[in-house]
Amino acid sequence: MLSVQPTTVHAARQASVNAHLSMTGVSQVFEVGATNAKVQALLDINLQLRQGEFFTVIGPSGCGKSTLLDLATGLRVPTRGRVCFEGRELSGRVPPGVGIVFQEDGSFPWLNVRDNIAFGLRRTGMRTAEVDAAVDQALATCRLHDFGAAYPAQLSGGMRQRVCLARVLVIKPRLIVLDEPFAALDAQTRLLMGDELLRIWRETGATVLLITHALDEAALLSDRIAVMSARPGRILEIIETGNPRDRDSSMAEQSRFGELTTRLWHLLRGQSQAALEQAG
Amino acid sequence: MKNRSNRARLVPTVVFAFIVGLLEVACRAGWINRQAVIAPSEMVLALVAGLQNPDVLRNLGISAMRVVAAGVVASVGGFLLGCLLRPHFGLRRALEPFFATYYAVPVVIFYPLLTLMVGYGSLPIIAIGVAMGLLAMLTATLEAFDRVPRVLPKIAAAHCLGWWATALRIRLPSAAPDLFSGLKVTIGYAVVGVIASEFLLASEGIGHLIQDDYNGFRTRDMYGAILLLVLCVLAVNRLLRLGEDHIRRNRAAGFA
Amino acid sequence: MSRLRPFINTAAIVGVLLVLWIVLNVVLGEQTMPGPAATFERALAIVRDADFGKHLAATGAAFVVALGLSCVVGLVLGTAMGTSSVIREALEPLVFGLLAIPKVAFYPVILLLFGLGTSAKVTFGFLHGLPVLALVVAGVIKNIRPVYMRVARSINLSRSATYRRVVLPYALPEIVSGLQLAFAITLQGVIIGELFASKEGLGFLLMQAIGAADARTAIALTLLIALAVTLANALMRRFHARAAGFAPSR
Repeated sequence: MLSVQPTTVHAARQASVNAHLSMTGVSQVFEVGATNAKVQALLDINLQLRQGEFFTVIGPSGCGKSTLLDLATGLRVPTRGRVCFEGRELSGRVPPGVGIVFQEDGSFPWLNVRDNIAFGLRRTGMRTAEVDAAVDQALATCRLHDFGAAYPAQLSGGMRQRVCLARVLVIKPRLIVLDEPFAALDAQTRLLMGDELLRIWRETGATVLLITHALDEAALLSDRIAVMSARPGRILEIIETGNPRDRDSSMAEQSRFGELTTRLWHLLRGQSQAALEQAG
Repeated sequence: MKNRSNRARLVPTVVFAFIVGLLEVACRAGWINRQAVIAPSEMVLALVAGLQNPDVLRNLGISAMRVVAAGVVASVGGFLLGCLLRPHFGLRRALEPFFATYYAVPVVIFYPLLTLMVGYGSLPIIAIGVAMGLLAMLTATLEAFDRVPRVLPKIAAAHCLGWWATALRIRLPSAAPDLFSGLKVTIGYAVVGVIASEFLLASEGIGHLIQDDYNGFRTRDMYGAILLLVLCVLAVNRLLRLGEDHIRRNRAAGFA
Repeated sequence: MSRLRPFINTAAIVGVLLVLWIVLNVVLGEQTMPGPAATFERALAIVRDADFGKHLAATGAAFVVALGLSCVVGLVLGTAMGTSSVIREALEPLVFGLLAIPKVAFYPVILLLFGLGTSAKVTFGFLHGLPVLALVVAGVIKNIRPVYMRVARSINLSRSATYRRVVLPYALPEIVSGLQLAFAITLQGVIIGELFASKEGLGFLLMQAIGAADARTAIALTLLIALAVTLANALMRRFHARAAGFAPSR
C-alpha cells in the first residue's frame, strides 16, 4: 500500500481537470448473494484520458473491467471516488457525448439495421431527412451501406457488432467506450475489425476507451495501456506504446509490437494465474 | 427447397386422407357400429346441414363469445399480473408451489360448484375459461420478460431512456415472440375451459348442443356439431400460428 | 431465518386464501359458500365413509391403465417419429392436431364407442397423455446433437448399441420431464372424464353432489380431488428426482 504524497494528489487533481475523462480514487464494493457478502471489485483507480487518445484497459478475467466501464460511463455510481467527463462529475446518468458498445450483441432483433442505427436519434427531435442523412453516414463509416434493410438475424456476428458501433457513431460521441467488442469473433475478423476501429477513431477524432483481455489487440491499437491486477482490480502500470497514429494490423510484424506484448504478458501472467485460482 | 416444403405438406395430408378413407369404408361395410360412428362423408353432410341451421349458428356464436371474453380477460389479466409480480422475487418463489399445484388440478372440476353458487349462464363458464388461461399467461409473461437479454436495458440506460421508454421500446418488443406464444397457450386453455364447461352443465353453446344431441340419440347432428367445433378450433390455431410467424419474422429461431 | 423464509411466505399465502374463503362464506352465506370449518368436517366424513375407498380405487385404477397405455404407445410412436424423418413428416402434424383440439369434443364419440364406464375414462386419459409424450420423445430424439452420433459411429457401435448407450441416456432427463407432464395431463383427463358420465370414481361423486345441490359435499369433494391430484404429482416429482438423480425443472 503506497502512501500518497500531497504533491502527487495535487498533480493528479490538476491532470484530472484537463483530462477528457478522469477517474480519481475510484473504488467499488459489491454486496453479493443471499448473505450480502462484501466483494471489493475495484480499488483506488486513478485514470486520466487525454482528449482524442486511444486508451486500453487490459486485465485478467474477473478483474473488474466491466465494472470499470460502468463507472467510467456513468451507468453506475462508484462507492468511493469521482468520475468526471469533460470537467463535469458523473452521477448515475450517461452524459451526452458518450457512446458505449457492449460485449454482448446489443442489436435489436426486431428492428432492421437502419432503424437500429437511428434508435439513438429518435429523441433528439431531428427531422427525418437529417436522421436519414446521419444514418447514411454511419452506414458508410462502418461499411454497412448494402445492409440497411437487413435484420440482425441475417448478419454475421462481426456485422452485428458493426451495427452497434454505427448506432453509437450516429450520435457523434466524443468518447467511445467499447467492452471487449470483438471477444465473440474469430481471430481474423478481430484483426480486421481492429483496423476498422482505428480508421473510425482517426476519422471521428473521438477519445476511445477500449476494455479487452487480448494482449495483441491492446498492443496494436492503443496509445496507452493500463494494466489491471486480479480482483480487487488496481491499475498496476500505464504503458505508453509510442504507436504511430496511422497504425494498422500490418504492424504486427514490427519488433516493437513483440516487445510490447511480451511486457504486457510479464505483467499479466501472475495476475491471470491469481484470477484463475480465484475463480476455481 | 420448394420440393421439401411441398412434400412436407403433402405427406400428412395423404396419410390423413388415407385414414379417413379407411374409416369411410369401415363404416359403410358395417365393420364399425353405425350407431356409434357414422361415415365421414355423412359427417360432412351433417356439418353442411348444421351450418344452414340458425340454431346451430346461434349456439356457435354464444360459445365463440364466451371464448373471446375468457381469452381477453385471461390474457390481459395474466399479462398485467405478470408485470406486477415480476420485480418481487421473494413473492414469486413463494408462489411457485401454488403454480405447480394449479397446473396439476383440472380447473374444470370447480365449474359444477360454480353453477351451484351463481347458477347457469355465461358467467361461470367464462370464469372457468379465465381461470384456466390466466395462470398460463402469467407464467408466460414472467418468463418472456426474464428472457430479455441483460444487455438491452443497458443500452437503453446508455441512451438515457426512462423506465417507461425502456419498457415500451426495449423490453416489450424483445419479449413479444414469447408473449405471443403464451397468448396461444392461453387461448387454447380458454377454449378447453369453455367447451368442457358447456358439456358438463349448460343450457346453450356448442358444447351443450353436442351433449344434447348425444343424449337425444341424434348421432348425425352430433357429429356435424363436433366436426364444426373441431374445424373452428383448427382455424383459430392456424390464425394464431400466422400471427406468431408474423411476430417472429426477421428474427432467427431462438434469437431473443 | 432466511432459510425459513420460503415456508413463511407460503404459509402466509395459505393464510390469505383462508381469510378470503371465510370472507366469501360470510358474504354469500352458508348455503351458497360453505365455510372452511364445515367443509373440512365434511371432507373427513367423506374419507371415512366405507365407499370412498372404492371410488378412489376406481379413479386410481383407470388412471394407472391410461398412463401405462400413454407411456407405451407414446414411447413407441415418439421414437419412430424421432428416428425416421418419413414417419415424422407423415404423422407429426396429425399428433400436433390431436394436441391442439380440445379432447372434450371427442368425448361423446368415445362414449358411443365404449359406453359408460372405465374403458371410456381410460381412453379419455390416454388421448390426453399420448400426444404430449409422443411429441416430447420425438423432439428429444430428433434433436440429439449430431456429434454424439458421430462419436458412436467412430467407435463402430451397432445401431441397437447406439440407442442403448448413447441416445437413451442422452434423452432420459427430458423424457422424464415429459413423463411428469403426461402424468399430470392424463390424470386430468381421467378425472374430467369421470365428471361426464361415470358410475364410480371421485368425479362421479362430485357430479352426484351437484345433482343433489349439496354445496358442502361438492366443495369438500372438489378440494379432496385437488388434494389427491397435488399429492400424486408431488410424489411423482420426488420419485423421479431420485430415479433420475436430478431435480425436475417444472
